[in-house]
Amino acid sequence: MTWGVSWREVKPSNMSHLRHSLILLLILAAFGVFLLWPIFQVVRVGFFGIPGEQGAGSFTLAYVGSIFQDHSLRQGLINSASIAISVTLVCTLISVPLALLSVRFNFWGKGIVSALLLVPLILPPFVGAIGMRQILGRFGVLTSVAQGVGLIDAGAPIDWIGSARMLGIILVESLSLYPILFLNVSAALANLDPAMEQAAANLGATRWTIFRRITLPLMRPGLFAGGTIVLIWSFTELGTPLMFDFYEATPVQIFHRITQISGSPVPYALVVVMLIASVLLYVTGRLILGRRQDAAVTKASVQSATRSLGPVASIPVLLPFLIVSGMALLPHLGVILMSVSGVGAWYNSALPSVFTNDHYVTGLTHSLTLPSVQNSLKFASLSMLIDIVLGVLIAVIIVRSRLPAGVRQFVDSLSMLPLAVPGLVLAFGYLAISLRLQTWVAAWDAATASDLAWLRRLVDVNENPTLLLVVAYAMRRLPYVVRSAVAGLEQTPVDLELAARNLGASSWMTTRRITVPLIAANLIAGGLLAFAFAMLEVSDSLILAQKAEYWPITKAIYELFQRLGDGPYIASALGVWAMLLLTLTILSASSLLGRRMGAIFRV
Amino acid sequence: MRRYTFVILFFVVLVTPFILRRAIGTPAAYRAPAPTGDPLKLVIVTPHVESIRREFEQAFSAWHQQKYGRPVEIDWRNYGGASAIVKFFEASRATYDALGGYGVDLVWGGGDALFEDQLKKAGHLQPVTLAPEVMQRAFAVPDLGGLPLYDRGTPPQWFGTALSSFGIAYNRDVIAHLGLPEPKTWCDLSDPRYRGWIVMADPTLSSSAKAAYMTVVERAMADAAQQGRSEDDGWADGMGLLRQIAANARLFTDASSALPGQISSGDVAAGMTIDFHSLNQIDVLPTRADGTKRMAYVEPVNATAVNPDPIAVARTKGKVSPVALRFIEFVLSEPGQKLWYTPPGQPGGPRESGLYRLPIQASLYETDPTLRGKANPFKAAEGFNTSPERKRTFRILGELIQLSMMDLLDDLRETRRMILESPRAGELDARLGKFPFDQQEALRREKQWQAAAPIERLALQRKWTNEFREEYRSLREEARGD
Repeated sequence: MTWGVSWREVKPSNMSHLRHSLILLLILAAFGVFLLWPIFQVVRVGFFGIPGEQGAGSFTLAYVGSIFQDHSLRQGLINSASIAISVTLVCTLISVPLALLSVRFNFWGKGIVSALLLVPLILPPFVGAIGMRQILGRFGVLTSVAQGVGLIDAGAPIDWIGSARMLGIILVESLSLYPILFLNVSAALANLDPAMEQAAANLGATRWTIFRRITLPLMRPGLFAGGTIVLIWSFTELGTPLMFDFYEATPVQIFHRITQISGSPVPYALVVVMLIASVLLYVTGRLILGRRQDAAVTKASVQSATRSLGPVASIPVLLPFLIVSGMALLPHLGVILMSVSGVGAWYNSALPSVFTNDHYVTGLTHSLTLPSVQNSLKFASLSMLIDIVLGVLIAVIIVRSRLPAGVRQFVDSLSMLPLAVPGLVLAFGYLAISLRLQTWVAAWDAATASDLAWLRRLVDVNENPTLLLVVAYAMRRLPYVVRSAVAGLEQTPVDLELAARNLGASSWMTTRRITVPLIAANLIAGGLLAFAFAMLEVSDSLILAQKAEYWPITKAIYELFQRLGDGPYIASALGVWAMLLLTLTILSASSLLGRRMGAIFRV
Repeated sequence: MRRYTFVILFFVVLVTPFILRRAIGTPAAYRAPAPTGDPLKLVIVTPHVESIRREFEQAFSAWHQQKYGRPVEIDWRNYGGASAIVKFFEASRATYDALGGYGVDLVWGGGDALFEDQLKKAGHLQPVTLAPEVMQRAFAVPDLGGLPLYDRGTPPQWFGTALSSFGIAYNRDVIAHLGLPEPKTWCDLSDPRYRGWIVMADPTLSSSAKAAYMTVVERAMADAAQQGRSEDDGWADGMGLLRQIAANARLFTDASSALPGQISSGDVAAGMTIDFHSLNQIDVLPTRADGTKRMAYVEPVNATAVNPDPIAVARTKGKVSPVALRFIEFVLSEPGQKLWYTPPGQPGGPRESGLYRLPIQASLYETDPTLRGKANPFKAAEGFNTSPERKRTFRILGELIQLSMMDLLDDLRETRRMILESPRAGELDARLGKFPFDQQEALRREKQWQAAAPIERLALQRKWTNEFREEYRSLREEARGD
């Protein structure tokens, strides 16, 4: 690399160094206040005990130590790690071939199946559980179908959920998380310069060699970006094991112990252990996949060659897509059927015996529904904007700045931290800082005789949770945007920016006209994920939004879900409606950009 | 145009609720009476479900409008079950110190154990005096077989507003499939043929589940006393019975409200539930050709507990809101009490959703046509009810069940399976059906537990779990004939 020298001569002006340092400070401040402080509020209990309780106040490692002495907590860590690793492997096995097929071929129905692949992302969690329970229940769909085709005797229910819980969890999580990996890998493949593969082929390499030596290394940023998110997500996932009543997993143990009547510092210590374990998993993943790229200097100057297939030739390519989506969409199908089933009428049968539209009428006309939709749209859009701005800044620091490698590494790990913190923990942390801020404002009011009632309302989640909810949503979804932006920058040769600067463009101009457009696809992909997940966020929404006026849609669905009797049906109807809305959000965004769904993740 | 298809569709879906509402009109149930004047505000912390909250808010606002000329808007705070409510108060202590209040007016629901043992003891409740005529009408019978229906402090800190009891809910199809008779007593649930088919709720998370288990233990204590044995010994029988039932458990759920749904879907055969959870579920199920429903609920005769479900004013350094006191008054008044049990749509009943709960005002069981002829909990409680005297182990019960049953569930299941297969089944199962220590020892351990710092509790937990693990291991060895 002979031009490496000349880069350094142009690049690190004192100005840009100063600018990067200022951005760094801004990022660190944002992380400090909105991520580390709330985490600290929760984590310190793991070291100091519950404030006000006997023996609390002095630092001790005894709580953390006790976790490793406890048989079931130890097993929980092992189980969670096994689930996480298996889910990541299964997701990779599903996503990489599909991504390769989708980049290489233009086949009949591609637009539809590409959209279908993403649908698992837009299922409100507890509603998905209702669907899965209907299908996998002892008297559920699978049992009646198996009875119907004579696989098992009539009247002999099978406990699908109860008999192989770990396997079930791995399957369900893989089928709902693979889109993250698929999106990232497709974006990486789309950015790949086909000239590289062509050159290899020219030199006589076999397809396998090309894949192993060229394609795989070049798509590593995407694999790493998606893989770490899936790994850490499945390690800290609460909803799925809870649905399978699998309690020997760390997130469930934290959830149960943190909500127990008699307070104990142990769950907080367990949070500490889980945080450390997540960081270790992330670092391991980084060592395996995330080595810095030599190839980062290439940017596809031409689109990779896609082969168009006729309807018949499309079938073998289409089939794997259909199989994967078919399985991944089972819970959605369950929810849709549930939403039109008479109460209690879907039992011991493949389909409901009575159909009704009552649940849609009740759910959609309920006084909770409309305001909560407006709230969710507002919260999710605001948090997505914050994520995109912060995400680009962070990516610039990580990829482009000449700050010491240790600092960049630190910012990188910091930006992944929100993934490792269970939503519930962060929610309790935000609740704690809201109380803290209120008492500070009150004390300030009393001391200075000023009237800061507006400020107190702003920080009081019970009065108005907007500020903290938006920040909480933004923080929790930041990693997707950061990873997308970093992957984009890593695949964009810095020469293009340097050329712009050389021609006299200011750094702002360069960012606006060169950098952001070049990584737009990555930002859109990350931003949409951030938006969709913010719309579906559960823990912060349930804990922080208390006043009905400010409930997001997930909280409203949860409230109606708890209605005795018809609750699950009404929640399903609203879930279907929310899925429709989210699908259309994603489709609208892609159509406004003038590209088809499957194509928005490539430049 | 194609570019905008999805955008247009998006807006179509978005406005569907508006259009639906316009087209069908707001259902009567959601239409609040036209308010005149600014609504007053009331903040209530509650675990009650949406239907209870909605029905009581509408009825109270109308009542208040009529009596005091202004409607009331209630800001419901639903943090979760009893443990979440305790956590809310604990977390808000700083707010209380700084602002002189918790920022909430009332706390309503969660069972008398929550109010008496947790909120009152921790000093989160405000003593208030109600008008004597309100008290007299609501609490003409002030206790249920010895169990107080409101706090006996002067002035009282909490008031029972409804009664709840426990029973067995079961799925008739599953029972038939398993070839079992319909269950009638707690003991029936320990039948090994239920193996893997019982659902239980976690007593460390759900105070109502803990109260239900306490009832089983109390009944066993009463039985022992009738047989001339000590109640301490009976306590070990009761805990042993719970252990045999737990060996049949498919799982321990985290919320007691989840039980009826799992029973009606057939994922489990039976479970111990709160009356109105199950009655509500049964009501919405379709009636079958033979006139029955697939799910049923039964209360073991002379073996169930009836508890009051209280309301209280949250502690405040300032003046208690008059609207809060009026809400308590309304809930205890006849119009408030009738909301609990009158079928929806009937005069004096809820507008849309039946609430399926029992009133606390004893006279209604004699005078109201809806209740007459149905089981009267005041009569039932004369035979047997929970008593503070037998409930002394209540504070350690959840932990003991957790350590001996939930944490060792696989061990426990396997142990009972091996016992029943062994030639000494009868003798060994009887040993499993007797807890390894009695009430005195449990009380001693409770003291030790309460006195222990969090870190010492961890050591105790490990020690006790190991004792139970060792007990199950040796039972298995004996069953194998080693």
